[in-house]
Amino acid sequence: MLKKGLLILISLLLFNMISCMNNNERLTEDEEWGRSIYDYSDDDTYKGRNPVDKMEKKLVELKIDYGVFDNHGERFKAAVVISGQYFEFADAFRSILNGLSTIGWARDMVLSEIKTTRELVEFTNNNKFSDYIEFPEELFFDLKWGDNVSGMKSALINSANDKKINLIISFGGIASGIFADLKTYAIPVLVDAVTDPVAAGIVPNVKDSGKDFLTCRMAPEQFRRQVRLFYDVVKFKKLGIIYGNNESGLVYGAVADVEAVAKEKGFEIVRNTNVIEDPSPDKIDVCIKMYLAALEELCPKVDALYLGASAGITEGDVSDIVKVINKHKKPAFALEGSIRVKEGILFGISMSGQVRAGIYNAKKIVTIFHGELPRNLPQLFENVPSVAINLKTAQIIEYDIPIEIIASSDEVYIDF
Amino acid sequence: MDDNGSEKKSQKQFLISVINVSLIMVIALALNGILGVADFERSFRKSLINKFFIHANNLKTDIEASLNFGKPIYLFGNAMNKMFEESQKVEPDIKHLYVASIESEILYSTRDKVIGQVIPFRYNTNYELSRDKQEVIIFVNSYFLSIPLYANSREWVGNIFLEFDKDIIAHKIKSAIIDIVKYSLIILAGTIVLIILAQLLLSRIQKKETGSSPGNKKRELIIVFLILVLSQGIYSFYNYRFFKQTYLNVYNENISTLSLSISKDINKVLAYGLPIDRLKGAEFFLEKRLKGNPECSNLFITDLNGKILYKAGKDGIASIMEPLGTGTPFQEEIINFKEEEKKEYKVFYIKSLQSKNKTSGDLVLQINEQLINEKIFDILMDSGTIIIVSLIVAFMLLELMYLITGGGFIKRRKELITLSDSDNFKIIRLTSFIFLFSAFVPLSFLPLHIKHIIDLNPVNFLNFTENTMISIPISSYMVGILFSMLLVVFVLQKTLIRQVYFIMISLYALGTFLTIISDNIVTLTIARFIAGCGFGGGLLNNASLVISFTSGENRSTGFGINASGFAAASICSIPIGGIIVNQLGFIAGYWVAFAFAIMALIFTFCFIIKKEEHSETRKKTSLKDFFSLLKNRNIMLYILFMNIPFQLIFVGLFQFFFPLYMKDTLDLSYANIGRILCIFSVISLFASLISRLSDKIKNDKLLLGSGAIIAGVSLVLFNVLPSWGFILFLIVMVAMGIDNTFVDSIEEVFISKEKNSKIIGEDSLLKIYKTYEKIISIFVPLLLVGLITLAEFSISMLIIGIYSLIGGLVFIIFAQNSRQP
Repeated sequence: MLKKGLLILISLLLFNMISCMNNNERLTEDEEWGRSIYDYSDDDTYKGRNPVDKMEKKLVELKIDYGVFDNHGERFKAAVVISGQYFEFADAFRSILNGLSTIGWARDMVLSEIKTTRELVEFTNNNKFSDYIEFPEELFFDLKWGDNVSGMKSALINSANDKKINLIISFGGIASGIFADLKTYAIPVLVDAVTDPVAAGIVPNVKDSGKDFLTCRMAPEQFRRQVRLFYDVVKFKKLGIIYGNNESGLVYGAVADVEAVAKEKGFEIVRNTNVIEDPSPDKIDVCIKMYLAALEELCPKVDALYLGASAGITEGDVSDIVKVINKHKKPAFALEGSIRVKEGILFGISMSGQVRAGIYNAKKIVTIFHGELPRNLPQLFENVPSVAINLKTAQIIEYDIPIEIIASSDEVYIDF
Repeated sequence: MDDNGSEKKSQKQFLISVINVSLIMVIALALNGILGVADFERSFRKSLINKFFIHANNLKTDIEASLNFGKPIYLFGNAMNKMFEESQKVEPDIKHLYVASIESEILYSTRDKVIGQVIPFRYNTNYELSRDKQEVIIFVNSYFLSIPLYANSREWVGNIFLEFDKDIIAHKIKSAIIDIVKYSLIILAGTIVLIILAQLLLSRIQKKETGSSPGNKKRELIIVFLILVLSQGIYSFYNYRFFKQTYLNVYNENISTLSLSISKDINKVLAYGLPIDRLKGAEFFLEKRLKGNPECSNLFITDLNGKILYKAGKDGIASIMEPLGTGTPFQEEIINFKEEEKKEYKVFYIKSLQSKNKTSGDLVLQINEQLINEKIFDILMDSGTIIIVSLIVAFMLLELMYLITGGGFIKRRKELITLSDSDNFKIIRLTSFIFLFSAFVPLSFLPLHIKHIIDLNPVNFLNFTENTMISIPISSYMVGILFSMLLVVFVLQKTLIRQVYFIMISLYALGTFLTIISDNIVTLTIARFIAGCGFGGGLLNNASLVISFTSGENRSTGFGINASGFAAASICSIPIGGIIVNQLGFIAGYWVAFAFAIMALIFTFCFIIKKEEHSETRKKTSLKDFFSLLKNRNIMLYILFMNIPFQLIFVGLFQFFFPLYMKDTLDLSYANIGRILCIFSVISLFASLISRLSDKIKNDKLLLGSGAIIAGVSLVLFNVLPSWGFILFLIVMVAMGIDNTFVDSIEEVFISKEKNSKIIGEDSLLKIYKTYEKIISIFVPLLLVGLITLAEFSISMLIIGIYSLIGGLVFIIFAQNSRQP
């Protein structure tokens, strides 16, 4: 009897102990994260999964379908307006074209070899770039840095009655300034590649374009980030800047941003304003000479230089500028980015952020084609700061760049 | 025929002996193996997880490099996907990677579907208190490693989560277990062969001797025990070597992973043509990589001749280029690789650094020897602890085996023949061990279980804090103990020992069962009260058992053996209970306690027999008897000058403050704290030797007083010589253990022999005294807290030490021995 009782007790004990063991049923991956994932809409409208960042969230809130559609059996027509021939405008337009390819509105084509905006426009027309959008050559306007402004302005304003133009893409302050004065305009305008649209008077602020027909892309902090980054790496006490002492000069040199960071970090700004901005064609040589002279005068007085988009750089041969800076062995940072770093300036911002900008603008274009007011679209676009470095220049000026900067840099040039 | 019959009988006995002993060996080896594997599993898992932490920290370094440029966490775009791909390429066992914002929203992941969702489990977000806290979270079938991300080392911007499957670690542990089982079978086979040979030898010797005598059993026990110690020793040694090597292998792997990652980043820079002696900021770069990698103590970049160019680590940072802003001159150094020749493990890991397919220098990682040595020491100590536990269990099983099989015990039980002293001692030891093992198993995880219950069913009772709520069931357990002690003293005085055991053990078993089914704090409190009632009464009844199963000549020995059973139970219950709970959960731990309670009931039924009880000690107790102790000078001297300081030391210091001191001041790991506290119990195993000494010299006050003086002196020295530090602390532990052993062995015989015993009986006297002791123990923590509030901790310890020292002296001088030589 006792033995039986013991056996029953032991069996009960074992049974309970086994049932106490953790239940290790394997769940599926989806079950692990809960049923809510089935409600999540898969917004895979472009290659490579990116998180929905703050700017894009606003686009997402509009719930636009970026799928292709045409304009009642025809392609959408977009006009392209540039302030003048400038690498940045070509880069910006190229990024929009690539962005359109990414979201499925155009074919994937290699555009990197094409240097100018005009050539890009010609390329799209000659190579069946897209079945849904076209950039007719007759709708390409080059304002030649102000020489063509009045003529082009009337043509553009008159074209508002031409219902065949569905969009104007405007690059640069001079080009976009045409639309700044207008209160209304029948054609939506997308503005890009303007250093500071608020300072240039194109839009009142980053939140509101002020005009129903207009939207632009702005990165208000981008130059402050550049200067901060430059300061964090070099830790200069005196920073030299060169700019023309007029409205354009202040904008091209991002002077307000440099001053703000100087206050923040406690370094001194040493200025030379003895240069010309927006020179006429006959004044270009003088402009370049004045810039080089300003550089020679400034270099001995400072620890480092911040080079804006002054005419002295954009019009001249950067190698001459590089020679002067290297002679004085000063580290320099180019506002215009890696194109200058490639030409021999020590530091600049890498252009890798252009891909995102292109997709961002392409989505805005499609949203406009859907009938959304440009004014309702977001304008804030934060650049992704990443450093471009020229190691050959570093060697010449005997400046050692911290390896952490080199290791995390997107673009490193070892020659120029 | 007779010869044939006796031959067959002896053959049968031989076979039974071999089988029984072999079974015990199997159990002992299995226990050793299980304890060893469980312990090893814990530290092995930690080392394997560290490997994944290295990858997570590498990813953190890459992300933070961009964050420091001012890149917002939400603007990494495809760059993050590339970093994820790199990590998964280097370590294919990484299941998924995630980066979440400070709002726990997933910004990036290798699992597209979850981007935008919130992290589904809780993790630390309070980085103000613990800046770089890295966490391991188990969620469903995976481990998640959480590491915070900072921009410019200041602003917390999000977290990285690295996910890997639980099976990866389980698989590695499983293969280690298979190896352990393989060689355990070899050792077992060898042991069984030894046992057979030993038994053959013994039976030959026995045949030559005329008749069987109790001495033969003792000889057999000694030989079997020696074989047991040998097999356990070899097995533990082998385990130790295996665990050590496995740990070192994982360590090597982790260092290798780290070296690959760091060299990859440096090679990327060197690939641009930079000379190796012009790597500005390399020392800061190395310093950052060291963070979160405790396995590495120093990092160096050297030239081809071994000359150090840059270094970072516990010796500080230095660079051949002038460090930024400090102007500290650089001292030339060459790494002394000869250091590692003396070691059993590799000290330096070298990875060559390449520039344009040419070696331009070396990256040298110096391992954290202190960490490795600590770990190896831990493994050794764990092996030592395990061997003690398995030997104790095996010894108890041997005792049980000899009790059952030796000399016609069953027949003697049926005929109610008086047992020998040896058998009585076995019964005392086994009763104490089985019952107290059952009682101590839950103690190691009871607070955790209570917290778990509170989390499942939170209750707001008078706005008590969580810690107060946890203490309620523990306090109800203590109240139950006191209640049952009073019950035993006043109500169950006439009840036989066997019957008291049945009642109390059944109560304890019932309380344990109710604990198992409790799912809220109220039922848990009631369950623990009932369990406490069972435990208190059972504990008190142990004293009656000793009195009943011993005579005046060997009473002290009996109490000593009881104390050693107590110590053995406390040593074995904690690690075994801990493993059961870790592997199978809290409820399994309580079931084990329940099972042992049932075993205690069965043991009581089989071995604690009515006629064995000596009836002269059974007298009814009144309240007058209860308070009569206050008039006994000797007992009051003992209580005031010995018992109170002893309780202050044992309850106050040992259980409360020393664990805190070891953690906060000495910064010992929990494992080492447990080992040091175990010194106490290990010394108590020798209580039976002390009690035999006491029975011989019969000068109980001298021995008791000496114990108090030893403890007092050590506490005083601890305060007077703080520079002796940890060594002196160990001396204090040993001294306290000695004091405790003396008290455990001699206190009860001292009390039970007082003149009150003639009136109220030894048994009643002892029980009343135990009740007094329990009441005092309730107030001791309050007394201690009051003392520490008035005069801070070290002064309080000094006061207690002086109290114990003077108390011992006063007791020796003024008390009288209750036994005469």
